Amino acid sequence: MTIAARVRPALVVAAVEAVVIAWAAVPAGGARAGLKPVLIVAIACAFFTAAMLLSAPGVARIDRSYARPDAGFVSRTWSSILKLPWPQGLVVASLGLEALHQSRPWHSAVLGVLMLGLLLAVHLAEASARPAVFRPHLRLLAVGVALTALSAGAAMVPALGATSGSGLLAVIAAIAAVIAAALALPL
Amino acid sequence: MLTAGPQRSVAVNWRLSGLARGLVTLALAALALAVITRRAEFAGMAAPALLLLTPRQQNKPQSIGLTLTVAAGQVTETEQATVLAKVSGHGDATLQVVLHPAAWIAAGTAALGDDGWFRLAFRSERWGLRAVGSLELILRDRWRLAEGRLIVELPPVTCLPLPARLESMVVLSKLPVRLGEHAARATGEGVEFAGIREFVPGDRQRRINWPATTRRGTLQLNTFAAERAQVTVILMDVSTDVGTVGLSTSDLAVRATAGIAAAYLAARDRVGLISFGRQVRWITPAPGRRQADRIMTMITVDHGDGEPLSAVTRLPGAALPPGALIVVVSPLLSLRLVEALRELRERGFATIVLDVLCAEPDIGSGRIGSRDRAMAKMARRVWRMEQDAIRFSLRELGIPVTRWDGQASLDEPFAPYSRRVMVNRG
Repeated sequence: MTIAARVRPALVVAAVEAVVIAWAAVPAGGARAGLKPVLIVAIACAFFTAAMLLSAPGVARIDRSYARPDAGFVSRTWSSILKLPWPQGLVVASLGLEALHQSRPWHSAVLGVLMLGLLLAVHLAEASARPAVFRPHLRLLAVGVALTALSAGAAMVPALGATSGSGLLAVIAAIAAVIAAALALPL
Repeated sequence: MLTAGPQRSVAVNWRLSGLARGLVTLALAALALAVITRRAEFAGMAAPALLLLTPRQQNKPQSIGLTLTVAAGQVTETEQATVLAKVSGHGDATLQVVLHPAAWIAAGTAALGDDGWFRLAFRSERWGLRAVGSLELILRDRWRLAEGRLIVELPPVTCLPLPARLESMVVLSKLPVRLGEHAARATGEGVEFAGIREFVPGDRQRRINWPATTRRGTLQLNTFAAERAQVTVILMDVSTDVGTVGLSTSDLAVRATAGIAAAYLAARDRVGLISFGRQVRWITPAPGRRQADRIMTMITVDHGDGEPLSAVTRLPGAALPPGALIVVVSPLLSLRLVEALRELRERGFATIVLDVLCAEPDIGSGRIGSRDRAMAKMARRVWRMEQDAIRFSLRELGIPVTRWDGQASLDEPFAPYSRRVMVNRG
């Protein structure tokens, strides 16, 4: 694998990560307390995700110095760190950032689509695959994005937020809609 | 772990792919937040992930057929080689092949050929018996939700050192009576003009030099230099190894030895090798391609089948035929070897030393006291003087010592000795 072939997908993932974190964190002023540590966790997860993609095999390990006992420990520790599920950590941290803000349904819906794009980009980079591998998923993706938009629209209807129990009802309704759509789809 | 060989069936253990794990995380975290925060939009965020997780492919292959081979069992440093892998029975699952290179191996790109074979290029960056690494096969189902991974250990390859370039050779004044390509001082049936003499009955008429005959009035004949083969024995000293790995004294010694052996064998000379390492091993001089293979194998792979260095009192006589040119490739750090060189000179062998010492004792760059630093510098200076003394004593004995940095052609250090023949006692 050439350097460019490995770096290009990692750069794309890093760019999507930056957009996801920025979208979930902004505006920092209106958020509840605890935004800063979650933001740090998200940035760390994003960094290690990119590092994990960049450290793909293919480059000669050429050590021009004689073996040092600590060199193996450092490289083993680093590779163990990179094996942790950093993309999943980034997803959870980004959702946490979004939850620290006041309700803004359309903003959350866009974040959901961005995070989905991030997961797909990470998979493409890991598998060294082209976007065409997701052709069978297109219909599901379209339905899923439509459901996200629908749920965001439902959350923006003022009548649903009138009583204290209506929020929970809206959540349950959205979950039920998702499950129903999933079961109804002929696959 | 598997090894290379004919096609065999390998079981595949399927598990959740990275994408599936990410989608599960997104869906569960979003749904949990939706319930905790009572915000419906989070449940909506889980929708695409949940939908993408619903498809299931039932007919995933439980085993695949795998054929594996390395295109060449022997490669040269920095030469590209290929691992061939063929996978069958994976159905519509997509296949990704990744080469995890071992130390000193650089992996290239993997390409699927029209014949169904995956070709994975790799390059060995250093000579020796090298492990190539392992081959990872990753199978993914149509929906990219499940993946199966297999790791196959690749067979090692013998990486020959990159021979140093040598075009002009050191030739002795007295050569053994064997047909070869070096012009000797004696006249014979060669093609290089040697002189003119008077015609005697029995000489070939076609060799009559007519202009000289006209000038002198008697029949004059062209004479030609005889073409003889030289016996060259290379003494490769790898008993000590200092310097940066990849450019150390051993690296330089094996590359120089490979270059010298290749050049003299190409000139149809008889070439022998004495390897002066952990053991003393040798190959008696012989010509030809098979000898070249034997020498390269001995240089590259140490089977540990020689005489222990501590048990050897003198260099093996069988490997040192009379009249041979001895080319010593050494950093001259072994006093035992220096003594052996003195003995060689006493026995009348024409000897030339190629000095491959390319490092000095490291006195460190850390924070040490000025007194300690001065002592370290003094020690290094003493070491340099010792090295100079060793080289001076060899020159005084009539053994030329010439230095090679490992970068330039070998013609450069050998130039003063290859311009004219090197006088030997014969």
